[in-house]
Amino acid sequence: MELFGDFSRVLLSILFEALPFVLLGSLVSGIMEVFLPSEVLARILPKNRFLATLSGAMAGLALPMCECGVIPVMRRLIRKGTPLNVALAYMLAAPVVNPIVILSTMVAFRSMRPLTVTGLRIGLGLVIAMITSAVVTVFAGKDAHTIELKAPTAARPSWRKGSREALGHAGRDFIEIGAFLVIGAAISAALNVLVERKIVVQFAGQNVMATVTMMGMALVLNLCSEADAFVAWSFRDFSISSRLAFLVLGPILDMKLIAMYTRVFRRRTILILCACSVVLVFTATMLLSNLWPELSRPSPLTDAARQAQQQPSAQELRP
Amino acid sequence: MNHTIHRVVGVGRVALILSWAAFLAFAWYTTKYPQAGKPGRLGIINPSYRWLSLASAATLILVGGALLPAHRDGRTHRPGDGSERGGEHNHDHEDQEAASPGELAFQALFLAPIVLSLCTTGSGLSGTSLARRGVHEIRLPGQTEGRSPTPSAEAEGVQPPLSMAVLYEYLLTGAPAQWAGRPVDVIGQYFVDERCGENQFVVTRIVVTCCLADAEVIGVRAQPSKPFKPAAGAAANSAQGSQRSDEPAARVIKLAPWIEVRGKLEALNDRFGNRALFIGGATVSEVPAPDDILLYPRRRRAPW
Repeated sequence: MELFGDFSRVLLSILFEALPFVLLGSLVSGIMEVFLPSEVLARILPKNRFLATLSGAMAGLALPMCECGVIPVMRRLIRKGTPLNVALAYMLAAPVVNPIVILSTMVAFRSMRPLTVTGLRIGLGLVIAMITSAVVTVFAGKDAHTIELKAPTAARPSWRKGSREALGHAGRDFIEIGAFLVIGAAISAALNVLVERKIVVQFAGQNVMATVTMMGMALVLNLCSEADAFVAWSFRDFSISSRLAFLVLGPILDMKLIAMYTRVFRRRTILILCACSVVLVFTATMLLSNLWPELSRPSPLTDAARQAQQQPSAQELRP
Repeated sequence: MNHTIHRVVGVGRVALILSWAAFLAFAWYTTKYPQAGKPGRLGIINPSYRWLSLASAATLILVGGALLPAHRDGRTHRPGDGSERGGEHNHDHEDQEAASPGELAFQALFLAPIVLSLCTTGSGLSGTSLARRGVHEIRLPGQTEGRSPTPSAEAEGVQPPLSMAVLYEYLLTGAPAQWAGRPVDVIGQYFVDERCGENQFVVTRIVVTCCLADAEVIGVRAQPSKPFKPAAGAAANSAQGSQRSDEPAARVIKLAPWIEVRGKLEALNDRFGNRALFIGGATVSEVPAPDDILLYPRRRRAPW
């Protein structure tokens, strides 16, 4: 009964945290549906496939969204005829490559190489989003999603009527995505309450296991990309590279996101997306830790923090 | 029949949206005005984000209003009634597609958390959950077995006592060694884990960055000068009875009352003989729970 109470409170807290962002995403989606003609999107996207994917991945800088809010926007982009690779790159990269997340990561890791951690998070997030979107586009094919493309409309609604329509679309999106968010949040809350962190910490010393464990934690904890850096910071027994795996995978894949993906993609697409992102994040962070051994050790501190720890003789430890 | 379903789904949408608006507004209210000792019935997110709840509630009222006319015009949405004109009613097609009996299931699912919240009481996390999460201890750097830090000359002077807020800043890097001997005055919850020896406990606080999902427990070990036992009401929750048990599981206990602990930082042995940072020679008194039992590190006016 006690754990059920904890489950309820954690579930509600996840919903309270995520729903405003889902609503924001739904509003943007509704506005795009009504006021953004499909031809405008087609005109502004580069013709080159790579550049188009890159611009999709970088779009989070202009249209910052966390992972919950980005799904209705991405759904609408596809409905408006945006190529799948571009919409996917936006969906996967925007929760990492956006100003709020960049700032929160820098603040959270202020005591241990903030620029390195933030730079690596953005770089890995961008590259993995682009590769994953390309792989999904190639292997899932035209049948990747369940969204019906919208036929271009000739008539442009008036501002008043258009606003009402946009809000209506936002409301429908909000309910639809919200229902799936509830499923994902419930699974997440159950795991959040049941998983014993002490068991997790025992893997901190082994680089491979630490990375796998932190990726598992990203799946289970379902944290918002705007706050996950603070939690990653608190896993002080884990290496920076394993924490990077947590920071890069979390915004792409967690239980609530998988539940929400089912509203957009077919099962095969979700499987490819999950497999690809997991393999890429693992490979990239393992590679990094081998190339840059300092990252495979827990908490390399900033010079200032290191100096603060080097105590003068009066503060030395005595036997 | 179809028309009835359309109407029911339409009414359901508006009712659901407005329910969530009311719910989020209530969340904002209880986060802004927490009850003493509780973070408010729904105050389980960082209060810095409460404005998001309020803004969402206001937006949802607008959204609900926008869905109302669509519901009233439900008749015009019936397939084949000849009301669609060119592209102008293109969006209503989507409305028709979405207004299916299946959407009622989505609506019921989305309503479930609101119903669940009515059955949810209490606040924060239970002691069992906290034990599962483990306590993040604040340590002195270079703390090794069989060695203890020397109180610095600086520590001998009159200094303001360290609070949980100051200690939290050093959760990751470790408290500076010159803090050995520094006075401490912290308020937290009494907690006993398997490392606590006789007459030892941990003063804990739950820190929430964003929402309860990311809650972590921070703590400092304490060894009072006189044996401390929690009040009778909370004794059932405490480990005092099982403290001498050799079963670690039996020694992990639930949260007990709020206490204020005053003492000086020093390195002492835990139950297993390991050196750890303690509030030594501590005086302990039970205090009422603070207005908000959770701590929010990103909040400037945090009630530490």
